[in-house]
Amino acid sequence: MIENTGPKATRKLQFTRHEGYRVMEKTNPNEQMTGCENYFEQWPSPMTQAMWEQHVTPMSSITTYYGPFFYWLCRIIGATRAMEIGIDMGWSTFFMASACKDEATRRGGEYAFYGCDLCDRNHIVEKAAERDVKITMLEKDSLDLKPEDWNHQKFHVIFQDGYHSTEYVMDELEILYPYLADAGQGYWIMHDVYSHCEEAFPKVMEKYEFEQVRFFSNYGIAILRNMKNYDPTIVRWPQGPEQPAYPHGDKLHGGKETV
Amino acid sequence: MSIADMKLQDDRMFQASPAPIWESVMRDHPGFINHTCPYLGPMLYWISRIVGAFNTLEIGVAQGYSSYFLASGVKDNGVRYNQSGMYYGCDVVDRSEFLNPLIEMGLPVTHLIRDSILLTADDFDNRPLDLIFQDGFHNTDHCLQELELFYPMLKGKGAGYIVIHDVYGPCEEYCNAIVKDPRYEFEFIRFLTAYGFAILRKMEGYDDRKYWPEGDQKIAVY
Repeated sequence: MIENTGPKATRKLQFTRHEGYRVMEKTNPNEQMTGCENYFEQWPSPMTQAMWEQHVTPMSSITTYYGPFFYWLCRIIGATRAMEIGIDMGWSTFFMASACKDEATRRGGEYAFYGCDLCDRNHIVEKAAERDVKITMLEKDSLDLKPEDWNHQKFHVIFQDGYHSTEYVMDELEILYPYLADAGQGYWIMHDVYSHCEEAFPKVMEKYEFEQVRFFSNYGIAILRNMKNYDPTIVRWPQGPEQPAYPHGDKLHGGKETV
Repeated sequence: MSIADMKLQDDRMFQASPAPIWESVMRDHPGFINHTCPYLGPMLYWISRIVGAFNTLEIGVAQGYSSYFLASGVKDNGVRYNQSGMYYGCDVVDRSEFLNPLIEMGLPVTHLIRDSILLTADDFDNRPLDLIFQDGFHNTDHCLQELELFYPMLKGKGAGYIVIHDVYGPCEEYCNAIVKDPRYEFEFIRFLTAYGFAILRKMEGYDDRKYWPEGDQKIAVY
């Protein structure tokens, strides 16, 4: 076993070496999926197993793939501030909170992850704390959330998966949308858009400025990007219209030279 | 630099900035991290699992970073749902150095060494595609030709997805054009980082019916 002595390491990672990359020691003490101890023997999936092994709970059979997906989504947008409404067993919670932490570690700076639930989920907070992953638990009705709860700062990601009544979903958006990063930099995730939240989804799209994509599986999920204050006239690639990929002009565009 | 050197470089990064979840998914990767879009590779695996991709096309293999994740997604979906599938990696350059190790690992990989716009449905055994990752030659006209070619091969009815890299980079003009083009029906989302990428869902033939049990929403009170 080799001990990580990296300057920013906040815990001692245990691993063995395997053809270049380290194999992280399995640290999840839980069964693989509740009621399904040998899930990976039946359905081998090294990637899923690798991520579950670093988690602190069993896999969720409802959001099996969405939980890990959120880790990468948070990493890819550089999220360091996120909230989840509806913690349940903590599958997506730990992934999102870990992503915020890992982003903060990589870039330097603070991170904050808030979990809102009516029920006591402190056992998840404690398990995460054992891995130095910080979760601030807001044990209250989401409609009682106040900006003071998160120091009035904006979120990069909000995952909405609490009570799925349409009115409730809309009211949660009323409270939290102003605190979602705008200009195309904040993402709102709705679970169950092909089930309980199917009615709410078009109302959300009608009322707010989002671009979005949905997925069918596991009751459906929608990823929505906050386009409020987004400037579509900005051309980001170097100096306006696309520059040819090659330096000496582009035959398909008439061989025009560009700076 | 050799693959081993690149892995050591990644190793130093993980020691300086620990990220056990990320590092855990790299343990079997025969290549190394693409630091241009380090998170997009693993994310493609989960998109593949979420959409249940059995037939996936990647245009532009490069050093095979995302190829490993896409091919793993196809294999694991096949195991889970007892179906066969294939990852097709298209590149004008022979990328066997990076794709052969995936085949040796037992991943379902077909390497198509040719210009993407010369591909035909026969190359995919006439199977409809579930997922396309478009990251080849980024010239707008070339990308438009690729879409014209592959759009009919992509599953419709909201079941087929295209991920386009560099939509806030060299493919910005292309992406802006296709989302307004009436020939194509997509819902889509973009991400700003790593030169940008977009996820597009083919909505042609999508039935805008109610999916939740019997029409109107049934949950209102506990």
